[in-house]
Amino acid sequence: MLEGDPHRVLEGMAIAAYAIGAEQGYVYVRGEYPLAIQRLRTAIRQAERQQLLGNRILESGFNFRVDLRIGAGAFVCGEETALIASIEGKRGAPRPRPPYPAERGLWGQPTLINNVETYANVAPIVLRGGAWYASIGTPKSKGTKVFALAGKIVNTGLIEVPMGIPLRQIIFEIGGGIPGGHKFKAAQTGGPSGGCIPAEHLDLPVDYESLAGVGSIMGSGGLIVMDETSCMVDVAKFFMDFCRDESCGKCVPCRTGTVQMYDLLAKITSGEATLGDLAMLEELATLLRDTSLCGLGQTAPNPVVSTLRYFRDEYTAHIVERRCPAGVCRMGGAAAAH
Amino acid sequence: MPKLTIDGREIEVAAGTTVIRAAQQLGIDIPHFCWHPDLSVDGNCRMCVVEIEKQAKLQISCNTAATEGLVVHTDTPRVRAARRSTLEFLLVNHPIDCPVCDQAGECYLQDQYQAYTLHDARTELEEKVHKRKLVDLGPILLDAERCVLCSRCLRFESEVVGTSTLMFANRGNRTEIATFQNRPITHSYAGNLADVCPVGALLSHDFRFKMRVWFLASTPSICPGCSTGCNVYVDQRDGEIYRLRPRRNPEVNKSWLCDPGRAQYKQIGSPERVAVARTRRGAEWSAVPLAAALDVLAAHIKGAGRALAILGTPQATNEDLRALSTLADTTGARLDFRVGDPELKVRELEDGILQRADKNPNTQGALDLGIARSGVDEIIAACRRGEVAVLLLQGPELLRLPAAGVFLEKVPFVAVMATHNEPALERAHLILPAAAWAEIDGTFTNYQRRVQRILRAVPAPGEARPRWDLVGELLRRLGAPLAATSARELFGEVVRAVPEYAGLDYRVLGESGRVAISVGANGHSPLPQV
Repeated sequence: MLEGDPHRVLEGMAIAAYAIGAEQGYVYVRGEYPLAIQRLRTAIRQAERQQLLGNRILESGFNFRVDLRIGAGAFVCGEETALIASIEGKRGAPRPRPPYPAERGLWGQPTLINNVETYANVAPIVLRGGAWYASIGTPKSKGTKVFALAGKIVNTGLIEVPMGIPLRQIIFEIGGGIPGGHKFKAAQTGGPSGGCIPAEHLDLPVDYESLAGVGSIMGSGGLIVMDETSCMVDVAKFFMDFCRDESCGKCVPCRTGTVQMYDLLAKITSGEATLGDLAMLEELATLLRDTSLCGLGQTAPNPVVSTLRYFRDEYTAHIVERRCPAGVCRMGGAAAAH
Repeated sequence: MPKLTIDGREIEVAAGTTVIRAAQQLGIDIPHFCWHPDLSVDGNCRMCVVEIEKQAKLQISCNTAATEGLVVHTDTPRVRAARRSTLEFLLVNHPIDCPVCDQAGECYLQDQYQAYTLHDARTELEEKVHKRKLVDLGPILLDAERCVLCSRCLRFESEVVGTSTLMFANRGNRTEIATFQNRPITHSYAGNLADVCPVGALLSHDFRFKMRVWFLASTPSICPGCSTGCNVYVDQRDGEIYRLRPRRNPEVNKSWLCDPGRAQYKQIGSPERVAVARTRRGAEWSAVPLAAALDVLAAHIKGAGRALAILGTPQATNEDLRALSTLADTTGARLDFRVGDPELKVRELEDGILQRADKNPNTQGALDLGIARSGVDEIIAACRRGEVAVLLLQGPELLRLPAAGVFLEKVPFVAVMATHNEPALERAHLILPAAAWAEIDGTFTNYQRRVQRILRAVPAPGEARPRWDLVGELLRRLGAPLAATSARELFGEVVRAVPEYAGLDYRVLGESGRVAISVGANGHSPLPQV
């Protein structure tokens, strides 16, 4: 969105600012996307020249400036309170809510904070009306959603689809199916803290409620496709590795729990685990979900919970038979060093 | 005012109260690490979780508002399991070096381990994440391995001191507290960092390895370092004081104490203490029994008649000052105490936090008791004119004035009550050993006019006695003994002498003191507006 149509985001922000009476906006962009940053800068300059941003927008009494803040590579800065702290120049760590940003956000002021995708929807809705927008999607999840297709799929890249579209249609029509004659095994939605959807749910309509029903989330809109060459325990380990690395370290369950869960997964994938370790893994998953401070820690166990739900047999194969059904994990070695 | 139920007991609290505070009001102590009554909420330790009916997830009680109809359970199996796991998490990378840790005995981690888990470690020592140990930060020693990353120290610095020396470095389970390039902590509130630290990560250099805390007995008292009157505990063993700790009083010092205040204890056990009476003949000093010294002084006072001048000290308690004004009334002596004009500085805040410009604990009490009578300049002038035959000093302040050597030339006899030896005492003829603040019972009146008790924590050295007792002995020898025989009884006289103190006694003062009532415009109001 920021690379393709940054003006749409800026326009949505300006309208939102007008609605709440804000005079200053920020776009927080990950430093890993230099093209987005460059184009956004250009777009802000253009908009200011056209008097669409800045002082006295379109000769009205309304002023609105937009500045960029570049993230320095912390996943947790996607959490709203951590993002706000980062804009303020502080360590990017979340804080407990309440107070919510709408009450006390950036610099202690009431703050409207939304995803880029949300702001991009504002102008079309204003132009064409809410009824038009609501006509797309399902009764409860309205509008469209952007997904990033990746993994074992022919067409990778960004797609925008109406809410409620069946997963099968996304993968096999838009995505062009699985390459190399392989078989679809599961799709991971919602990024590193999302969940996986197995083949039996391929006809699931992709909307918020249905995803939650099968234990996954919409999250960031990531959609990673896996075929039978993927080991689901290894996948869970991969995501847990990401979460333990990205934990900001502020709250105890996430700081320590993600590492403990990763260590257990490493034990399982190296064929050294017991069924007791599996029980502990599940216990930790509940604890992290129940007691972590922010969304990162609360959702970090999701890939584990979700793969255990649909592929528990793969876990037990690793533990009881000391065998990786997908042939991915090298069994019988010392637990992978971390 | 919202009403809620905690563990089956109903309580009504002020709007905006959090669940953890509401529970405290019921006497239910919810375990916690990062929450501190005088710091902002950070919600990172997840130890204070509680179960709230109709809410699916456990909630942290430190950041949950006590709202109408809330039904809270602080001790369910689910809560205990979460606490247990949190504690186990905290101990995963903890070095468990309690036997060599100074915090042992007053460590939240130890206490809560004993209360909730008593589990066996499931982590091998070599699997633990190792961090920096023994980092010297000046007054504070940092052990990052023991740290539970509660951020109390960071919040104390930014919210109370207004500095940010300490910070978090790295992230995830490698996060640790640090200062930039290991620079030392330079502000004068460093001791509080060791206090707020719930574990042994930040330790006081001054106290470290001096004494195991379970041997210490604590006496509530007041810091004598300035007119703020911070509430403290005097921690002693066998008559030796090892440290002062702040005692929470939300109206005075909250949970804090400045470093100069904290160091006040060192004077108590100082080798320079005056333990016996001494008299001077020419340049020769000799020790004399206290009773004999008092006889000599009483004889001089009798001989002096109205040519007696008395100077009080704002270091003395209200009880000491009351005894002194009784002596002045009995003898018709000149009386004052304002050497160096402490009354002009009594309310002046030096650093915007706790420290006040008036380095005396009881200037306000001396003003309230009417010790400011004749004027210090007038007493000095009378000395110069040769009108003073005997000068009795409750403290050495006047002797320290550079001109003292000159204006005392015509005073035949100078007696001083002193706690410590110093060169200025050489200008006196008689030195009486006075007990110091930690050795006596009494009251100080702080800058707010809050009357607060000090309690005897340790015995005084040698023949040193409370100043009021020394004056009482003199009055007895002059044939006008004090009616009061204890500090408590003397405080009754103080209350009768100061209208604003009406209704106060030691029981009413309690541990956190009472602010004296203000009297109307025609009342007695000796405090100059600063």
